[in-house]
Amino acid sequence: MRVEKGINRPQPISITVNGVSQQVYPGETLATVLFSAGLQCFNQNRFEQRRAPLCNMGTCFECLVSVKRSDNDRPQRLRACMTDVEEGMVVEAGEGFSITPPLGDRS
Amino acid sequence: MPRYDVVIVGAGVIGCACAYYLARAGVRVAVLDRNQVNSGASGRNAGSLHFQLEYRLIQNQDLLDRQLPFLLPLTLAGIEQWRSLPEELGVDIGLKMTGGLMVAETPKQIALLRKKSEIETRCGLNVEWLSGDEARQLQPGLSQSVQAALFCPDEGHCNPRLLTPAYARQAEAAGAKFLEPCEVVDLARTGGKWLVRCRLVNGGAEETIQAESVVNASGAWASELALKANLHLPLFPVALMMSVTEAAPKVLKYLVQHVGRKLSLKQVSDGNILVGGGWSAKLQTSAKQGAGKPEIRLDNLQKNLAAACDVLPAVRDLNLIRTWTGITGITLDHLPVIGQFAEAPGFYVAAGGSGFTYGPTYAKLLSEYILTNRQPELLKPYSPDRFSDLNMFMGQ
Ligand SMILES: Cc1cc2nc3c(=O)[nH]c(=O)nc-3n(C[C@H](O)[C@H](O)[C@H](O)COP(=O)(O)OP(=O)(O)OC[C@H]3O[C@@H](n4cnc5c(N)ncnc54)[C@H](O)[C@@H]3O)c2cc1C
Ligand code: FES
Repeated sequence: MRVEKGINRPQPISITVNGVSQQVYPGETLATVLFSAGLQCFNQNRFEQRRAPLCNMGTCFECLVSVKRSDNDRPQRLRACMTDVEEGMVVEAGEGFSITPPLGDRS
Repeated sequence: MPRYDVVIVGAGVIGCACAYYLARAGVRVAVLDRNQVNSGASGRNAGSLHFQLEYRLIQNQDLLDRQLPFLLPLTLAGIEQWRSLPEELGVDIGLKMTGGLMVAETPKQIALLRKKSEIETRCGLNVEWLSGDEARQLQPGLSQSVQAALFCPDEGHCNPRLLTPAYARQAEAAGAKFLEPCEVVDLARTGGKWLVRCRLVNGGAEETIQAESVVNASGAWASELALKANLHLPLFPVALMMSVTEAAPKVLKYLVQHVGRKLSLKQVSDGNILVGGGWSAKLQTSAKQGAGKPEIRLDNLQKNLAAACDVLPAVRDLNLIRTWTGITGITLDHLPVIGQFAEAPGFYVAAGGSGFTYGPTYAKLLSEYILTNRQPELLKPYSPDRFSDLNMFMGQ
């Protein structure tokens, strides 16, 4: 849901959230977009607890989501509240997304 | 006028531990801090317990020769004291003494590590030489670039947020009085007693406290406090940075340090990886010396993180969640200053050096000095007397 009355927005761009394409507007953060898509839980922490944005200003790290800038990019775990949408972003978020870092052997 | 046997200025690890060892022996102690318990370097440091020789000692033969006879007994005393601390303090202090690695990546660093290992073995320190592969076997995840490492089984880490408050609580339980926030503004000795003038930081009221002895435990600000007692103490503030990543699955079993680059790495029980190693922040110069919050230096932060990623590549996948700064004090010879000033009887100091690793030991030895009025053998190399030329026209 977005306020429409009296607001002029730029041309929408599209990103993919959990496999579904979404029309979003430049200047919006991922947190805004995920909330407006109806998501309440953004991730599961390492204790398998459901988490959602708390501070909306970059300090609590409760809003981590998985972001790829393009389909074959390496996924990064970014703070949704600090990340602006970009055309073609592929985002994984919600209960199915565990933020536990994948500490594989990279030696 | 309130009267105490000993007034301790500074409620960091040194001040609080001193208060504990003295109060336990029945001494009437007051601890004053212009901030809060543990608000200085003691609550902001890396928490590394490093018992291997420091880089600067290997580089300076003269310094090393002077130190060598004291090094092993001091180190062994430190190790033994740490092992008994959780039980003695009766609370969790996040202590892990599972061992520490010092790694080398280049031929030059390997040569330095060799030299270090020879000196350490000669003076009886427990270190083991590992090839790169052996190091990776011991600590999986270390980079291929690691070509050799020295392992010291007694090294580790402790939570700086827990250690000093634990000492403070035990000191209080033993009868020590804590006054904070309370700034010492003047120190004078008359009729064989010390008069400590201090000001409650919030209320603004000034008060004079009488003491037989004063302990200068004010960390990076120790020279400022010494001057209030009309003494020069050449100890300089340096601002350092520390960083922490998000919590990650357990990868690091050991403290990891570097022989040729500024780096320390450890993983705490919650899973976060602490990254430090002595990269400097920018000290504020406008305010009083060493006062004010240092500024993070992004260039140095990047170099610190690059060193971390080079040695433990898994760090590259982690989010950095916080970087902070702390101010610690160093002397010209990098040794701590511990003892009594000949020019000012009853004025003691303990500052500088690796004050977290050795803070409990410095404090215990200094308390012994105060209780017996005899300088413990182990403190000989650290006496403030080595700066007495500076105090020829000073003192009480
Ligand atoms: C970022 C960083 C990382 C470090 N890492 C390590 C490490 O891994 N291992 C290690 O061994 N060491 C480490 N150190 C060094 C170590 O933290 C210090 O040596 C040690 O904490 C010093 O303890 P202290 O009690 O002397 O000083 P502090 O903890 O700084 O306490 C001094 C106190 O004195 C108070 N004070 C000062 N002047 C006055 C006054 N006039 N009146 C009243 N109060 C006053 C201050 O408010 C402060 O609370 C590190 C230091 C820093 C900054
Ligand atoms: S909501 Fe707190 S960091 Fe994003």
